[in-house]
Amino acid sequence: MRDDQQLPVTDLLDQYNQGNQQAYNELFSLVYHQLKKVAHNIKFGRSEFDTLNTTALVHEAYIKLFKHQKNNWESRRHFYSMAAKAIRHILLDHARKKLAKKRQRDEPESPAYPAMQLSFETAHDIDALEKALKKLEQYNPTVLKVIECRFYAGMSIQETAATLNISPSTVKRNWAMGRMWLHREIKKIQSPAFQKIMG
Amino acid sequence: MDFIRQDIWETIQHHLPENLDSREEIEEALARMKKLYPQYYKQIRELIDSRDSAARFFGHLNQSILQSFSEKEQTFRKGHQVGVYKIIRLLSAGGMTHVYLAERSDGDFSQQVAIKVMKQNISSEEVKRYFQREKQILADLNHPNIASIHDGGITREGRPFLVMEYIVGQPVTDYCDRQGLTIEQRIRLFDRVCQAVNHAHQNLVIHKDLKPSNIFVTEQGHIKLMDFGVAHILDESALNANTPLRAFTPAYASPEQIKNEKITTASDIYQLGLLFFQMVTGMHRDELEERLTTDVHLSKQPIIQNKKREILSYRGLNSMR
Repeated sequence: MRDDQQLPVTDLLDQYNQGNQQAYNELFSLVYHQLKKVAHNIKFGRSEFDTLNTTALVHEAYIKLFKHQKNNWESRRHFYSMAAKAIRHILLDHARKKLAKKRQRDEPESPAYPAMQLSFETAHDIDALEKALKKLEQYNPTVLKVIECRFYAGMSIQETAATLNISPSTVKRNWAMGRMWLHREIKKIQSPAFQKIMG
Repeated sequence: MDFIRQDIWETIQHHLPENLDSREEIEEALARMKKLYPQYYKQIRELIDSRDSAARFFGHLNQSILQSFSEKEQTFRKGHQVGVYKIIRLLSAGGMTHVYLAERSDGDFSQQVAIKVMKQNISSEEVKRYFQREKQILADLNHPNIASIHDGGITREGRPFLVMEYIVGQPVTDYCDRQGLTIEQRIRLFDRVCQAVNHAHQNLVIHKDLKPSNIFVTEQGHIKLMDFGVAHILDESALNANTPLRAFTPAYASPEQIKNEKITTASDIYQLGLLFFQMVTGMHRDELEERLTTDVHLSKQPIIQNKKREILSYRGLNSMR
């Protein structure tokens, strides 16, 4: 009855949004294994490196969740954009743990899940990306959402357009310019001068 | 002011390019920006000029994130203690497991073994009991052509492991080609493989992952089937631990494995078929399929007839004649 155990994904997302640690753990487990599957496929060279390609996870979870219900467009959109945010937070959480570990030296591995072995370089990049995203969130929430859907949830242009209820052209422009804008911010954040100011 | 701010963005975004691969589109957009919104022209031009390095950054980040799942998983270092064994070095890493070369550390006698360790931790007592029970069945399987399983257990970290005979040799298909064996010699070798599989089936053990890299020919020329029943015991432990992992090798998967159906001895027989095909043609099934779709000449003729003539000569298997 494994199917049933995975059912309440929206509940998990809701609870996670309210800061429930158990919900976070379960959600993490789901995302972790999906990413692992995706990572495995990458080895066979089938995937593009454009986005994280976690869409399968999001679709799967959605289908399991809503299979007995009538197609509810609102809840579908809500679910998809929440899932994108969840993936963003999970990666950030890992990056920050990794960076903290550098200071504390070898912590024993967590018994619940095998650790995701981010390199320090990647952890730094994720951390810098998050700082840039925070700034973007204040400036322009729409561009931010496009980035979340595309980069973290691996949605296509069409899927992102449907999820955010905007035109595919808008998605393309937001994705193209947003990425370059973020990159510029990240370069600033990672520059030695900025590091000095921030200590 | 930063052009990405919502109020500015709303006004100018329709003049920005959608497709950054099109030089033309970019130049047109920039020309429009220069004319209509000269105050933002410079920062947008600078951004667009850096588009390649931005794409590289995200592509690289993406790849690194995905790789952190697939590689560099927690491996044991040299000298790490697993049961009564000490790790010497990592031999290989698969989807769910690491295989190490190790030796006994209690000074009893020096014997090198291969230890297969699951990457995943098991915390459930029930799964631990299941693992202990199953490993005994594998340890009892005695056949000269099946690599023996000496022992097994759970590491201090909570990962199941199996201690196996360490085989030095090469995959059966490589052996056939390097030794330039005749078809008849290949068939004889395949017969030994079948006998070993038959023995295991009679003892109610299914291999589930028969493929050249699990079937070695030793330096003495003996066939050794490795990992008998190992896929099953690890799969079940993982499933019982309630994680959605199920490992199989795509290129050698039987239809029931792909469909996630019940696996019986028929699955092993199917994989033996694939192996036999590869041993006598020097070609993997997928390669044949690819060739059939791309090579018009080949696809117009009956496959069986072709198999003998065309394909044997295809891989330069002249040595087989």
